[in-house]
Amino acid sequence: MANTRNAKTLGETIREARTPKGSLREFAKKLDITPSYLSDIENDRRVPAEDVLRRIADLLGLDFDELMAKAGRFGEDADRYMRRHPTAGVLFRQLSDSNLADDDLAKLLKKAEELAKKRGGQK
Amino acid sequence: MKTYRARATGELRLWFKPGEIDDWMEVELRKANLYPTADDPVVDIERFVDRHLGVDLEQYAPLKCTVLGETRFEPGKKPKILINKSLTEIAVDEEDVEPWLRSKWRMTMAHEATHVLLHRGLYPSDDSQQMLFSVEDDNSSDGQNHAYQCLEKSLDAPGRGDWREVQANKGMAALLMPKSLFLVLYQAERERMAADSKPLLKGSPEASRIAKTLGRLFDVSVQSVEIRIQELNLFANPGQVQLL
Repeated sequence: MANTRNAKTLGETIREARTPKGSLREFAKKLDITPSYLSDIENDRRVPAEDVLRRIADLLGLDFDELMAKAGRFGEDADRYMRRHPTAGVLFRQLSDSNLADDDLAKLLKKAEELAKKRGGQK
Repeated sequence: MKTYRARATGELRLWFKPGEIDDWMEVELRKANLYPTADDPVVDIERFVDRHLGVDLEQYAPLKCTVLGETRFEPGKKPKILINKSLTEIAVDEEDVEPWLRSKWRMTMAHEATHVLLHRGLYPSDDSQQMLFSVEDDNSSDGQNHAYQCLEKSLDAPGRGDWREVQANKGMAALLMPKSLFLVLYQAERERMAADSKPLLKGSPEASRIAKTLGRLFDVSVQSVEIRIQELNLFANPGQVQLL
């Protein structure tokens, strides 16, 4: 489950995880992006594409969902799901309007995970 | 390290004993496990800043073209070192980089690193603390956040200017040319030139040759090596030569 309490930005999270593992240039090379682009990501000037974010998560052992959340992205699958099920969008807007606290969101997330489990992991 | 009050302004300043900054930087390099060797005397300054210093390093910062680097101290945050994006791109990322450009980038990085080491204590680490010293700072907009900017001219005129910039330049030299190793390589070069018994005069062809060689070995500018030789009192003065 994603840690919704972590207040670090996307760039800070990536930089903190990357620093002990290698230099900016070494890591950019592994990601097949320019060091300048990675620097922009680490300093929250640019939000990476989903595939880049997934590679970052894989290489640094970070939670992809948490990175996506920090990036303010739902992801392509979630976007498709929202288009197929407009109620999901309504649910999200209601959550946003209610301004629920982290604890409440964690409960809802747990409930969603339980429902998904019952349905055999269906999305 | 001591503090004293400047007579003209009443401002509190830091004062280091001769050799104190040298000793400090040697300790920091050893703590970081990055003390260079005679076989490989180039200090990995990027690794030192990125992994040892406990700062946020931004190597592609959109700074004004006249600013090579900047160090920011903000309450509640790690110090931040910014290096001009244009400098990093031409000094590191381009293929076939000119050695003097790479040296300039390394010297900027070391200069900013030294601000953090020497001057971090001048600023409160969080909002609840008072500043330890009254610091006049043109870059402070709200009296809490402070930034040092390293301009092209700061690196070119290391003996002049703001006292903090002078100290940062001394620290930069001590980080990139650690004293113990510098003396070893200087002596070796003097012996190689078969000139160890002759006094080395500032501005002489020998001095120029040795500065070039050491500059290449340490990956720093020739000018910074000449200043290092002078500060370590390795130049003979003309009076000495006449006596000899």
